[in-house]
Amino acid sequence: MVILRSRSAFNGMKLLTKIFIIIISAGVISIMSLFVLTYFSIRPVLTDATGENLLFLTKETVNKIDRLLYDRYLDVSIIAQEEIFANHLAYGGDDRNRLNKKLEEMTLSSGPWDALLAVNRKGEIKISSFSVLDKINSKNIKDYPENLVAFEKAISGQPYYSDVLKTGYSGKPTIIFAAPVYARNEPGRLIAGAIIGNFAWGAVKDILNDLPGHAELYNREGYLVACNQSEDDSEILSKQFQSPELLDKILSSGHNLKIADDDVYPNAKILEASVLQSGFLSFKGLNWFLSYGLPTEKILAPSNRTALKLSLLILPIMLGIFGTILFFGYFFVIRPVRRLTETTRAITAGNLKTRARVHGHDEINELAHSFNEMVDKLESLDEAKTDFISTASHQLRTPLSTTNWSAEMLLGNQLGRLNERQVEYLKRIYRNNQRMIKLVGDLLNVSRIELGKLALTLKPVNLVSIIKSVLDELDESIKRQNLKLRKKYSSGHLIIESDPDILRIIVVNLLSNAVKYNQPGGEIQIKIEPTDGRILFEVSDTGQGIAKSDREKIWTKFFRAKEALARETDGTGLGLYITKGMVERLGGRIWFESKKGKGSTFFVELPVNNKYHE
Amino acid sequence: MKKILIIEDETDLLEVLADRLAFEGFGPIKCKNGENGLLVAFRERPDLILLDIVMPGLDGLQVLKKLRADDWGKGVPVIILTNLSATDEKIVKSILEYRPIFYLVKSDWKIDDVVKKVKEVLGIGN
Repeated sequence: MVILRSRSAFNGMKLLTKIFIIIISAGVISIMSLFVLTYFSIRPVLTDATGENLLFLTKETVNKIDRLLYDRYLDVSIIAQEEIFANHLAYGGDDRNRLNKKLEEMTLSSGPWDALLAVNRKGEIKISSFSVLDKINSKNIKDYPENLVAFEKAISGQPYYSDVLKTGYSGKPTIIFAAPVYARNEPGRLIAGAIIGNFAWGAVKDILNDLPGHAELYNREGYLVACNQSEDDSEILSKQFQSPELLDKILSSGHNLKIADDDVYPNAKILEASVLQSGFLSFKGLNWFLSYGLPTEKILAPSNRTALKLSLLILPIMLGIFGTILFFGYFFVIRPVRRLTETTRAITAGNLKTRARVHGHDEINELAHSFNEMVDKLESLDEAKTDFISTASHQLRTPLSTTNWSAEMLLGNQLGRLNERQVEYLKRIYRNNQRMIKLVGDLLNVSRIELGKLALTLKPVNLVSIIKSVLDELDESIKRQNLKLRKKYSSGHLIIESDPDILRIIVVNLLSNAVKYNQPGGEIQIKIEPTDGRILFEVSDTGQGIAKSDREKIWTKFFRAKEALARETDGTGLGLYITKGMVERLGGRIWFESKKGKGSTFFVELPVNNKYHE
Repeated sequence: MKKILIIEDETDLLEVLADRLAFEGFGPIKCKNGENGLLVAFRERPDLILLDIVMPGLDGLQVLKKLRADDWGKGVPVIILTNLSATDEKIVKSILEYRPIFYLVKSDWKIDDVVKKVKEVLGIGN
């Protein structure tokens, strides 16, 4: 039902609108399809490509972290071999400040260190990087449990590094590195103390921050070691990797693993878990892994941007294409078709001389050309009609007028006297000749009406003088039947714009009917009522009236009511048909009111410009 | 006696008209076609010409045209007697341009009235 309704609505639209709708729809569908196709075909490519990219990124990140931590290990070892520190730790000295400064310089240059300490065998913190000094309360390493472990290891001659510890001196997560300091010039490699470094955790975070997306470092127990998503370190060593099965999988795989796991990272379609394999960290069994997730929007963001740019670019192109199609469609199809339609209308309105314009040889111009040929045919048919009417009228009237005048001559005095019976018969001949003449005239009018050949010549016409002239002609019959005339119009001049010949025929028909179908001694009333832009012309008689059953038939050709036939009056039965045709040709209306036995009134309303003046 | 030239191809009609005009005291000259009619017109110079339109050969329009092109011809009164209706004939409109003094449809006129008209045009009282 909806389809049917919209189909008929579509059919009702103009061609240009239809074309416009089709093009716009096609365009929209194309763009959308383009979009969808591009988007969905690019996505896997992009995600794959990104996957490859991420693999590289995570490897690189892993390497960076690895190097970072290894370098710190080396830093401590190198510092531990500085003679000045060894001497101070072994033998003491007054150069503490200088050494602090030196250590601080090393903090800055080799960094990132939260703190570097040089501790002697007894555990006394002898030298420290400056920034730390303010914060520490105790000067003995034994008061710092995590550092103590490192110290003890170093003292025993083993270089040491810890796993991630919750807090160091700075209160931040840290890794503690320690290296033994050997006293020089002592036999048997005596250990004078240790260098202990608290690694600044921010450095790992910085590396992770360079990664787009969600990066997290976990240790092998599955505890978060570092991440780039949060500002504070509260989750370090407390947050656990969410999936123990996944954890096992990662740790046992021993190499980079690509996982897609929505549960771990909502919206993340790519999860790269890269087990830190190379270098320092895995060597010493640290075994962290980098879990890296990149949200899908981030992957697709560039392609979305590109898609948007593309569609914005396509829009003007499409508009250009639409515009061109519409432009050409209009000039080569719609406008010629419109012009042809207008030409058709002009021809229907009666102007048979109109022809369509023909410019070329395409389908539309061919149509116009054959259209013109058709109009040629119409025109010649039309001319044939006109020729027929005039030829027929002329051919019929010629012998009739000869007979007419011959009879008139005989009835006149010049050719000798005739006896009564001869006159009677001659009159009969004459009368019937007159009937034929009238019939020919009526038939001509009928064919003019039916073939649409009733020409109008509008002029200012005096209706009153037409009525007067017709009444003069009918004067004899009026007097013979003793009819009374009642004129209900002003004797002033009523000039209206009309066709005088046609108007005359109407008046003649109505008035002669009023005389013919009247009672002896009866009455004829003629009324003219001018109103706004119209006149109402009424003719009433006191005749037999018109039977109800004849009301419609009275307007038809050759109809004569029983009453009329009974009167033996002459009549062709064409009078009212012609009158109606002529009234309508003048753009008016005709109707009647009748009472059986009382009489009839015929009304003619004509739309005319009338000027009524005395 | 006034000379009236009648140019009409219908013999019967021609005879009837001529008879009637003779009875009225005019001098009718009969011509059955346009060419003849023109020749006679220029030769005889009648006081009035009764001219039919539809004729074989030179039709009424052409006769009138040629008549009006002549110095004498342009002033002679011409009554067009025809059976063509004014409303649907281009030829009628064209004829009227050459100033006939009157135009009447034969079958609509009594011969008495035609005579009256002739007398009126020639300025003869009743």
